[in-house]
Amino acid sequence: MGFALHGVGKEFVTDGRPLVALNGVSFAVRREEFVSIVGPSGCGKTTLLRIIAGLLRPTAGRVVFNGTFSRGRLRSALVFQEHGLLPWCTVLDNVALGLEFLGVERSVREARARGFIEQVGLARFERSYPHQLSVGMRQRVAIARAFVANPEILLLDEPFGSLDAQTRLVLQEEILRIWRDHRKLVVHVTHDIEEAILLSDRVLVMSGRPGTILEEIPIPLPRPRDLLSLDRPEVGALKWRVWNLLKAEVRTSLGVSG
Amino acid sequence: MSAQRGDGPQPRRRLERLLPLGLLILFLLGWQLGVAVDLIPALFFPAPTTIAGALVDSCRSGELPGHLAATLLRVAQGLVLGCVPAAFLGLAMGWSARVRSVFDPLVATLHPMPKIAVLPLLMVILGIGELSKVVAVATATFFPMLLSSMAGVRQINPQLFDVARCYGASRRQTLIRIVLPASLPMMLTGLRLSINVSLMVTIAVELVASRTGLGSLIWLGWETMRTEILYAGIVVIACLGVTFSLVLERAEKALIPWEQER
Repeated sequence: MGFALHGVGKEFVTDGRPLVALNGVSFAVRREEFVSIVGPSGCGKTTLLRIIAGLLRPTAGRVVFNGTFSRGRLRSALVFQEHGLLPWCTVLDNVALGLEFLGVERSVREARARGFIEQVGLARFERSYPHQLSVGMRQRVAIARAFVANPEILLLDEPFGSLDAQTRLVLQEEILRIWRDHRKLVVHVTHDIEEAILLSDRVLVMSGRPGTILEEIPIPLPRPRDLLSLDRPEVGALKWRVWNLLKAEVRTSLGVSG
Repeated sequence: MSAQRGDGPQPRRRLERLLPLGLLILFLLGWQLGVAVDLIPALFFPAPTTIAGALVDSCRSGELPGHLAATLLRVAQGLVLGCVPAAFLGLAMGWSARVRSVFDPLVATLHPMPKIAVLPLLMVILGIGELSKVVAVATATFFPMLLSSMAGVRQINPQLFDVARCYGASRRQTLIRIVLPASLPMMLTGLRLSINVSLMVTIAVELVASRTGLGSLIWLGWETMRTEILYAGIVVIACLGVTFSLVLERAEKALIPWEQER
């Protein structure tokens, strides 16, 4: 299953004044493709993800999902910037949450959740509450929760944004590994160019507000990838290409002229 | 704070804990002595030992336990009758803007009214038996619980509702997994306020319209000019307040394990 956006726009009204967040966003994503969206901050990346997730309605254009829909399976799951774990649920209950909402029996959902908790190395923390975990651990729980729910489309909203540089690297590799074993369509929003290149089949570069897609850049790095993939000779040119597109947009969004 | 200074935190903390008790003992001793040397009028301020004696006598005769039981029963009945519907309505008002807009004007009008003022009306409608008293208490416990549970829902991080929607939760699942646990701390605060109000209004009702309960015991003390009985009643009521507060603290720890280490 894949989906396509046709001229999607979103306008918010704040204090009586209209604010165009997105304008004419069109692109298509194939099944099992990993796509990253990079853009300057405030360009509407999160708004775009929320539209794909069905949490927001676009004010223009439409989102078309194609392919067969499996019943009893989530169309999409979103991993939030700030993890979005339930403070009153243990790690196990949080990871199993999606399955619980789908009505999967407790023993089955807990068995599946345990499998993923082990994969992200948190088996010892199964009974812990989110406030007892570090920020990096919480984000791992959030990622495990999304994969356990097994949605058709996985949406990642800057999942590593709040992490320190080293934790970030570890989690990037973890995502690559999990995704290798559980292939699915992923749309990943980030402002980290290297991260986008490392993880994706394709990078979509967005402009500043109102956000629109400037260019789609295929990433031809062979898979399976790991952090060493970034040492390949073609990476430099790719980074440069993305940065050249972004530079002017970032300057504008900072209010710098020229 | 004191632990950061170098002058021995342990003894200092113990001292801080013992100080209130020491002050209380000192105060009672001074009082007792003052009455003994006729510095303090015993009619208005009977000696602590006299009050303690009245407490013991009243316990032996079964009078005090009977009054205590009557008061406790009214407090409990008023709480159940007031807080349970208040919790439901409060959750609904917090969750749905439509329900809120319907009930908000009503709440704004009725909430500030002193609840004891409706007792005579309730006695006209419901008779002078137990029912009118319990309903008066219930109306008083209703509002703190209502406002707290409504605020409890409204302070929920909107992202959690997004999580629920995004993972396909039904309304029932959202209620059980998000709304109830997220508003539980505020609802317990509401319960704390309601218990205090319940005790307060129960005593007030008993002062004016009952032959049983701690309030009526105090009134009896006034009518017969036995001030030690008056004091005994006040001591028991104060102890009740403290006990409720301690029990609730325990309950909070048990019910909200995810907030303990804050």
